[in-house]
Amino acid sequence: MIAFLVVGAAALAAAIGVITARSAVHSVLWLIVHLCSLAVLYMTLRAQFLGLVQILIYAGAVMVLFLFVIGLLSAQQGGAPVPRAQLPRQVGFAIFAAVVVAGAVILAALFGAFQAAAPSLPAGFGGVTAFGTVLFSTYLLPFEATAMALLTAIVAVVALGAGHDEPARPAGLPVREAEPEAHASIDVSHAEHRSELAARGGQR
Amino acid sequence: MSLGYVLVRSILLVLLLMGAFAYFMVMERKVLGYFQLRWGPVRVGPWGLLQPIADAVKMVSKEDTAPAGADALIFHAAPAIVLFVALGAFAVIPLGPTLHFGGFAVPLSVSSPPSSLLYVLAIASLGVYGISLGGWASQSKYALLGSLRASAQMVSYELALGLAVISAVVLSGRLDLPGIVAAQSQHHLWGVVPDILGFAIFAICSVAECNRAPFDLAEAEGELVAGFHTEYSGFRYANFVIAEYINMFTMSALGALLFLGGWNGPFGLGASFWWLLLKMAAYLFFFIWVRSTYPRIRYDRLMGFGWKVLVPAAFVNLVWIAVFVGLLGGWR
Repeated sequence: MIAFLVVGAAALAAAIGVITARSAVHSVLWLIVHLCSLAVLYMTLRAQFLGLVQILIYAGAVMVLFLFVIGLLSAQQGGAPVPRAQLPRQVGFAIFAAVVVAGAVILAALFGAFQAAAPSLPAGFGGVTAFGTVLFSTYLLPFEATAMALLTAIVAVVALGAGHDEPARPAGLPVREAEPEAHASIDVSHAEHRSELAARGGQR
Repeated sequence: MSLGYVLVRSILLVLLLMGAFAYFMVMERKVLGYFQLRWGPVRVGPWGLLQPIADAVKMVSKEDTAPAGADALIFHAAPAIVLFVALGAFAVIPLGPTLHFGGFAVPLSVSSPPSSLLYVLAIASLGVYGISLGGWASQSKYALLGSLRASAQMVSYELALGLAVISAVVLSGRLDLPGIVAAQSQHHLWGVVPDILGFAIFAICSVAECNRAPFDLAEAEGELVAGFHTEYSGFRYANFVIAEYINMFTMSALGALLFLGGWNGPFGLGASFWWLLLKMAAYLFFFIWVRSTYPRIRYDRLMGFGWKVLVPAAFVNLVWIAVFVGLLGGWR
């Protein structure tokens, strides 16, 4: 219970930090703290595997890519602090949304939506064995469907990311979207140069 | 297990790792020296053995500088993150079989959760933050380039490393490190015998994950001054170095536990802490040997090698291990 309160408070504080931080990198850092706190919360709920996977995937892989992109985009000036209040009345909307969600949670708790939880959990609940057994028996079809969807997404990204006339680039390097434009501008300047030469030739 | 007990064991582990770091550093400099036909450190103490004390005094007494444009909070937090992650990942690594003192069992790890291998991978995957944040917060182009390289490299090689580790998991059917060692001793065959390709991939990826030569693109001194830790000095710089060496210890312990039979001797020669230490020392010697033999590879070759060679090879190896276990009946 004490662990829940401490970690829950940390998760909330980190979540507030994500939306109030003035620089994008600080937001990402708060998000990492938040995701790690969630992982600890999962573990206190005896979902050990889920907690570890939360750290491994979200905190360890997804957020690294966030940081990578932000580091590339805002390398200078400490990540270009965003001016306050880009949206009009955003604080009001945020408080309204928070009240609605909190109200829904409190109502759900009052009307006993969570009472259906099994009073006693099976042995090894939340461990890798139990998780894997359920995943590969009861939920095999959704699991395979998700795998297919992800595979489709990967193939689509490769198909979209690899240009038609560009030479094969080393895998793993980020594909920069600005490059086709750069090529185009070079081509344009070449064409201008050529026409200029042609014009000069004509003058002679 | 009470909190105080865990605390005492944690402190003991940290002291052990720091001592091991200090003397592994001497060993590395000595061995590198012999590889390059020179002496290595010989001045401080007999045979240079007091060198780490001199280094420590130098590191602590240096001025702690920070660049003017640096993001102060992140700049100061990054070395701490790196060291914290390196020490945290080692916490579940068992350094030997559980000792018994008159009915009082002492496991040789701070903690042993049921899926300790997953825990090591999860915590180790956070190590990239300290490096990428340290480089970013320095607000210097060399540091930023180094940290971008480091994050791309570590994320890429983590994939092949994870696949190699999964092959060991499939082979033993366990996800806790003592269980994997027990499975190997039960079948009287080390994991490396059927899983030689997996071990090779693990070895290559472990060098890349620790940012060691020839994969030390993140701190390529010829082009990037010192990469992500260019702007660090004194003890904060030392944090990065200590973390790198502790990561090497973690990788060598994982390699020994997953593929080389852990703390069990070859040919049934008993089980002891010393066997694991010997295997780890051999693995660490491999790190130094590789460093002194191969030149640094080019960045695009590094990424191409990781994605086009190691990852497909790791998948093929995984299929082979699955066939070995499923169709050929594994070790039986």
